Amino acid sequence: MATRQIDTNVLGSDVSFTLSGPWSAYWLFFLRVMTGWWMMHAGLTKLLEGPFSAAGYLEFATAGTVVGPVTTWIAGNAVWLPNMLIPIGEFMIGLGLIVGCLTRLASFFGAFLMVFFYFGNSGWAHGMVSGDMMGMLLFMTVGVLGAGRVLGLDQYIEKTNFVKNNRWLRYLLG
Amino acid sequence: MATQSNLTTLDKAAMWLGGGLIILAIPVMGLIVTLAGSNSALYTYEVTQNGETVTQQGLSVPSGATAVTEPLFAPNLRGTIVLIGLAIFGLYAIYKFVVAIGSGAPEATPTGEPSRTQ
Repeated sequence: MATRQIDTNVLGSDVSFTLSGPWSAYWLFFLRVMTGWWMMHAGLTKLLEGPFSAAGYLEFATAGTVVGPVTTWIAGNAVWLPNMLIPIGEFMIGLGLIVGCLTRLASFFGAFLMVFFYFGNSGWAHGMVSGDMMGMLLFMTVGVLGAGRVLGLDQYIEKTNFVKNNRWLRYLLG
Repeated sequence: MATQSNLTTLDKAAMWLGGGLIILAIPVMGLIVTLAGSNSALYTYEVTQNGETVTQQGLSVPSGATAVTEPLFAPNLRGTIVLIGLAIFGLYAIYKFVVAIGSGAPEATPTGEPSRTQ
């Protein structure tokens, strides 16, 4: 069926609307791949350009922000962790979204990463909805809607007996 | 058409609190800040560098600088409210996952999937 009727209740109000099935699925796929490449490119270039250091950013650029206490502590005590995890994490998060594998897990960590970018950059000169916030919302959208089930590996992985016998994995896939 | 929702109290609390705090801090407080005369969420100040006065923006006004415009709500206050809202969403997601592992099956279907009770 090309059109889907949605009847539900949200925040105490009945909601009814129709969705175009093909366009909804197409747009989820498009959104997932675009978001994935954005993050994968960020990680890939860091990996290709050589040793990555987040020390200066964590210690100075984020000072005075709401995540400043955390990032400053990390800069002084465990800077190796973001130095290693940011390039690899960005690459893996992006790859996961592009191929639609472990999509919800990748989206969760993508949004988690964007929390630090959003608050660490605090680029709010033109309002608090910055590019970092939009990126975070993209990850949350991909994860909430389980976009990996559209032309992604998750649609096949979820049909395996292993996932059927361990339904909690659906919270990582999708 | 009257509809049913299989959301638990915790689901509804996450929706109301998580999204509510973020909407409060960004569009609601943002509109108030704008109507109060500040076009930016940040402080705008003038500072003298090498004998030249430049205008900059930041989360606070550094000592020695002169404030040009001050938002009605401090940017970090709004940021903290957003962070709490995001933390609620994040903790909610982790809780749902942990409960799903503990019970052997999701106690509710993940987001974006049809309810198993309908």
